[in-house]
Amino acid sequence: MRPWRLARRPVVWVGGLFVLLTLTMDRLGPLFHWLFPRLDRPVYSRAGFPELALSHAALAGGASLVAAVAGIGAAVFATRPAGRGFAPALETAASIAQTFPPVAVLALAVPALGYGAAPTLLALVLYGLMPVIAATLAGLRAVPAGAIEAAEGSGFSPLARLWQVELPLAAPLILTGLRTSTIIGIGTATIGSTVGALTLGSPILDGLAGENPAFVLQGTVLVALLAITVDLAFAELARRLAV
Amino acid sequence: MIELEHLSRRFGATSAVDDLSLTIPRGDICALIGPSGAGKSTALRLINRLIEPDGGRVLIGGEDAARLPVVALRRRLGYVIQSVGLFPHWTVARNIATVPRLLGWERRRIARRVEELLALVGLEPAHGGRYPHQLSGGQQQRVGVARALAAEPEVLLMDEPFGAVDPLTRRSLQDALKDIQARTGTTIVLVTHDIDEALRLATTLAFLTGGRLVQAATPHAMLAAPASPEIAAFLGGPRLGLRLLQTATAGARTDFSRTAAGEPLDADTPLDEVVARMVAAGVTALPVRDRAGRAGVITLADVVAR
Repeated sequence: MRPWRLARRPVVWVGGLFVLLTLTMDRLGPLFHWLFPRLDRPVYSRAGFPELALSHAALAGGASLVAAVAGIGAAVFATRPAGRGFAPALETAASIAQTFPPVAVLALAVPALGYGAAPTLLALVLYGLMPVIAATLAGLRAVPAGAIEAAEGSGFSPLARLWQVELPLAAPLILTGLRTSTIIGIGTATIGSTVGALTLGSPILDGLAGENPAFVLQGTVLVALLAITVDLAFAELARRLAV
Repeated sequence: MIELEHLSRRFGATSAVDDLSLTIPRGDICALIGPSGAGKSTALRLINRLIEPDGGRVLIGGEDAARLPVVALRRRLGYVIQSVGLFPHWTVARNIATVPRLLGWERRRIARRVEELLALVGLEPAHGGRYPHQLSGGQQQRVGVARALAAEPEVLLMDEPFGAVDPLTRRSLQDALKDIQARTGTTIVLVTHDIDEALRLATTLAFLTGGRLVQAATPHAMLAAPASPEIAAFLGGPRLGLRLLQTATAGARTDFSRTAAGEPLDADTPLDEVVARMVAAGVTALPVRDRAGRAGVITLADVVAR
């Protein structure tokens, strides 16, 4: 796509706004002072917003990547002849993982992994697996039986069939799973701040604890913009995949 | 040449194919016919090992199929199925190129071959750039045949290939297949439940029931002397005689010592069509002309003579 056409896409606008706000939030003191005149400290300052955003994105992104690789891998295995018996157990495990509140996972993980990023990463990965597994299973099962039979009859090796026929045909559905998983991860990463991970949830939690609505607003707006940007980016990807 | 030797395959307690022996000579079109559940499709899939036999063996050109690597075996056998199974994410050209690509042909050879095949199955070069969903059912099936023929397979296996298209399209696909077979000499094994299709295409009919081969013969021989009442019923029961008319052409029964007025029939016209034209015109004799330009006359008495 040409640059000037790219500039018209909403993802660029929302993403640009996110980056701009992240970089300039600490200079918006007068604005927040005007909005919340009773507050002494109208802008969160215990960590810089660029640092919070980077750490937040790294946590959510890293967890999504792990969930994607593990989830797609497990679903592919569960649809091969060798792993077919494993499919029901996998689906059950994935839906059970989804029923745990992330806060509970954090609370349980802290004694084992300590405070900080590690328990957050674990909770995010567990939480992100389910949509990826469900979507990949659905995508692979929706590949037309005729295409599979034709591939087999034409003499594809099992690996070539997976790579050239099944995964490309399942890709649109797999992508929706990755999209859901990543968006959930971005939202859920905010609660990582309860166990000491540095995320955009930190101003939100501090604001709630210290009755500072300005902090809450700053964190919330940035998390929301990040989530919308990533969602729009996935929409772009899906659009190109469909062509 | 394909030789099936004492092939057997059970699914649980039921015997899908039971001690099936059949030799299909090179260049033959063999139609496997019989009622539903007779084991026709299973027999076909035993040839390319989509199903492995419990007993017996398949020889392809004298080689035991069980000893060949399964992937290599399938690349030597074209396979066409009723649902076509084109890869929806690939263009028509890419679909046709499937097996040549698996075999690692060089790019220019593949492009040349795709062009040839599009012409062979009666599609325009422009169709190569389209996607399967942009084609009609009949065109998709033509692509399916082209894909199966791409690497010049020794044998073409077809499982009810034209079952999902309308009768008119089916007829034109059958004509195209006959024409292609005449040009390439490919051995074809065809599963069909459409007796007219079998009669139109096959040089050999093999009737299966309950997994067993009951009779294998030329269409004419099977119609003239069905080996069992079940075969006779399958071939049309009281109307079997009409089917018999499909197996001979006007030329064989024409008296070339006489002529008659009117638009002459082609000598290749099957006898059932000759009768149909007589009925339509309300006559008992029609003029005929063969490819060499000889003129003659065919009468109703000639048609029904055995």
